[in-house]
Amino acid sequence: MSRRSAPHRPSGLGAIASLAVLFLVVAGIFFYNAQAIANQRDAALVSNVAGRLRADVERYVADMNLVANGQPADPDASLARIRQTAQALLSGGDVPAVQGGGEIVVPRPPQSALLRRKLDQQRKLTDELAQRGRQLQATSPGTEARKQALLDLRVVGAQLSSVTGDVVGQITRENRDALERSNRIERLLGLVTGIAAVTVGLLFMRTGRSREEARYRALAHNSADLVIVTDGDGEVRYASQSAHAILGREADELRGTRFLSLVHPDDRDLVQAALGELEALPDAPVRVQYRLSHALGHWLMVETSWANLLDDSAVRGMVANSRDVSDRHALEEELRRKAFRDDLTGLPNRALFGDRVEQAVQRAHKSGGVVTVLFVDLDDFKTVNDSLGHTTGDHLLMAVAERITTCIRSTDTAARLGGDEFGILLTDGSTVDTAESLAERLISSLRDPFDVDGRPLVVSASIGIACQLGTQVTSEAILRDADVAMYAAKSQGKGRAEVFAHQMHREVVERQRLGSDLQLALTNGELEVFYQPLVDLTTGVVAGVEALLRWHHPTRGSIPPTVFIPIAEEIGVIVEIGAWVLDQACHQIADWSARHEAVRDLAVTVNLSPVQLVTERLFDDVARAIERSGIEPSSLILEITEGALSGDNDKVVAGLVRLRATGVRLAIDDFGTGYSSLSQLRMLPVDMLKIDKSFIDGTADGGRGTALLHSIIDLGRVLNLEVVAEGIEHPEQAEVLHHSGSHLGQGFYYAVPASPADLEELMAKGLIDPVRSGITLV
Amino acid sequence: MPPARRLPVVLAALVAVLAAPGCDRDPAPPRADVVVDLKDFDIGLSTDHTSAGHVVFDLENSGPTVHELVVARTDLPADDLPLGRDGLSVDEDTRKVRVLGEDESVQLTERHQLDLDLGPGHYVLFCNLEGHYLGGMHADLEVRP
Repeated sequence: MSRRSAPHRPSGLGAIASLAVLFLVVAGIFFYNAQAIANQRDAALVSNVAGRLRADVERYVADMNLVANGQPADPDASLARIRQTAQALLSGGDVPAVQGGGEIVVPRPPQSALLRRKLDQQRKLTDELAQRGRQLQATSPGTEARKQALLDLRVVGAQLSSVTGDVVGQITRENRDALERSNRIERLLGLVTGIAAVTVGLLFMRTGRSREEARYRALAHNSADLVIVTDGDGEVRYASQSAHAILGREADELRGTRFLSLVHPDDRDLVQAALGELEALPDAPVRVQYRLSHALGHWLMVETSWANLLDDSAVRGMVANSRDVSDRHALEEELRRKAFRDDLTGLPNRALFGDRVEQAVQRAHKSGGVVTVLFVDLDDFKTVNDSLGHTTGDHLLMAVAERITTCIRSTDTAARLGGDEFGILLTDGSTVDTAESLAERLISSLRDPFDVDGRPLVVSASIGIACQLGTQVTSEAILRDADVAMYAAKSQGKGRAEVFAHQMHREVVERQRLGSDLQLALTNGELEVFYQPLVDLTTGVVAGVEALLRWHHPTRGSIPPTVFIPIAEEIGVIVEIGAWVLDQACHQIADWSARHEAVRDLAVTVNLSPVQLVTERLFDDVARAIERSGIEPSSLILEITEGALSGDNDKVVAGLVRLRATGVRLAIDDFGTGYSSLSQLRMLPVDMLKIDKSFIDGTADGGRGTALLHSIIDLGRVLNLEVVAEGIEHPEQAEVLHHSGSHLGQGFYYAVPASPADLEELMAKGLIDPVRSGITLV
Repeated sequence: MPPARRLPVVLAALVAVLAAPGCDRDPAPPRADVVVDLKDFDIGLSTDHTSAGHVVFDLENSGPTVHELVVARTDLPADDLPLGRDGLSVDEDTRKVRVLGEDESVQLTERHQLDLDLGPGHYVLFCNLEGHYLGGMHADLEVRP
């Protein structure tokens, strides 16, 4: 394989020819053996017959002697068999077998001239014997002539016997010679057979090897894969033509080079280890991926199946069958990146972040250091996402990710954990102070408006910080702690950072339990709608009621809306609950209006969650509540908070327009606490402003607070909006509001939220007790 | 020559060697004092006398059957040797016939050599196979001093 060889001519014909020779030789041996056996058998029969001839001669002579002496005998029978035998031995023909039984022996004609001469002599002597017998018979008993004739007969008989013995000897010798020749030929043929078999075997092996080699070469030569054969020392002895296509190198150029010199330096240990394995276990091919040098200077990722064929006569080398998997590798890398990277932001994803945290925990466990993790969650991102669309939401997340990245150190790890959640793992050795400092920078940085798709967006984030000793925490636990701290930050007002404290965990657990209970509260009838009257501050007439939800927990008692509403929003059940409240409220005022003349035009305000506001279902729920209750749509006032109007509120405004088109009225709740600009307020399709309680409280110190309240009331008047003062708790506040021109108000001073039953009397009268209000009614 | 082509040659050579006849060679016949021609049933001598001493007999069987040659010193003529009890072959144990040498089997076409140290005297050469002597296979030889 080390040199380019001439095209191989298949030696199959040689193998076939050799096989034919072998067949003929074996057939020859078989035939010869059969012939030799037959010859041996014939020779034995002939020898026996010839031997009997000697006996017949003696018997004949004896019988002739008896006859000559006047004794009864039958020499003619003996003579006849002598003649028959002699004739048969010489010229062929059958003769009775020695063993009798009617078996006939058919001696083959003599094969050798010597035997033929001897047999001819035997026949002549047979004739002479007969003649001597006749001469004897012609003589007279007791005469010299008879005596001589008898002697002559005996001599001829002896000669015939001798010749017959010689014939038998000759037959035996020839038989022995034939046997020896046969044996020699058999040995020769055996040797030839052996040689032929070896030759055939060699030719077959060669043919097979040649075929295998040719096949292998053909396969390797024509393979699209790169086939490289190295010797045991790692020197390239063969390279397929595909080397040009794959490595940009000619096959000849590769021959004689060290294979490892083609391998990326960082991968050489890998390849050497694979080859080591292959040498230890030659029958177990090794598959390994590594980089090979391309002639143009770049690296190709190849997947190679190494096979140890050092003992294979067709190859005698280590065979590397390599396939260019650069594209596949790149795809795998991309998939791996996707598996550990967040597609949207390019940051590590939760899996990779978890792994990094795990590693940090392990390092800290060994060093006794701490692990510090920040959990960042964008506040009210869902609202933004739902109102502006997912595309804009995604763009905002990308921008947030970039901003987070700019805030952290290069050694810190920022990841997107999902949705609007980000995690930050600080470098080993970072402290709580470091984390708090980073959290402040992040919060501050995120507050700078983002320019997303041409829209200015403001983002607030709540950040949880967990900093634990590596010996006392697991990666899951520290992530959970940071998450808990983040929830604590949210529950404490959002847009802030909190460091994990163990009691936070209890709070979160508590929150989760409440969430679970809340899922069942509606079906269990634990929810109830209370109503707080809205009062005409001038007349004390009940102008309307605000529906306020209450939860009577079976074991924990009454749970305030400030506690369970955020949970309901978080777990999504607020949509279902909101629909129920709408239905309840509409039916309630319909009932009151129907039964009490004093409140025939009673209106009801129902708070909408930002979560409801962006659902399509809201429109159905509102329409259904109005339809079922039969109230005038204008009797229903939907309250939204300023928070729901944050950011780009096109979608929200569109929803409000759509709602208002149905005839319902809209109110902005807690006005003054959000960041809706006054110019924005002008564009909103609202009918009522509900001034936040803090402004009412601010009237206590007179001066600036009262002036601000007056400004807001004036603004409402300018915008032709009804203004409702919330949280009136004291008569002074009512007095100020009355003089400020505010028409409507609500608060504990007039009536606390109460059940419909508790408000029944008030509704029947339709008038708040003026004594209690202390207001002089006009 | 490629091994594949060399192989048949080697094979043929090997076969030739193995198939070759035995290594026996017919040495050139030495000088013979008496050439003895054996045949059914007669013995012909190249000479009826020879010199005493080391006598080389060149035996040739003209056949057609096997013969033997017995060289015996005797005063008896060749055709009057005493017969054995069978009455058909020479009694080689009698004092009248002193066998000095013999070749018991000369096969047809074989050529044997029989070396004997013979003193001066009368010798009879005969084949003592059954009936051969009586058939005529005997000859007289005079060994002269």
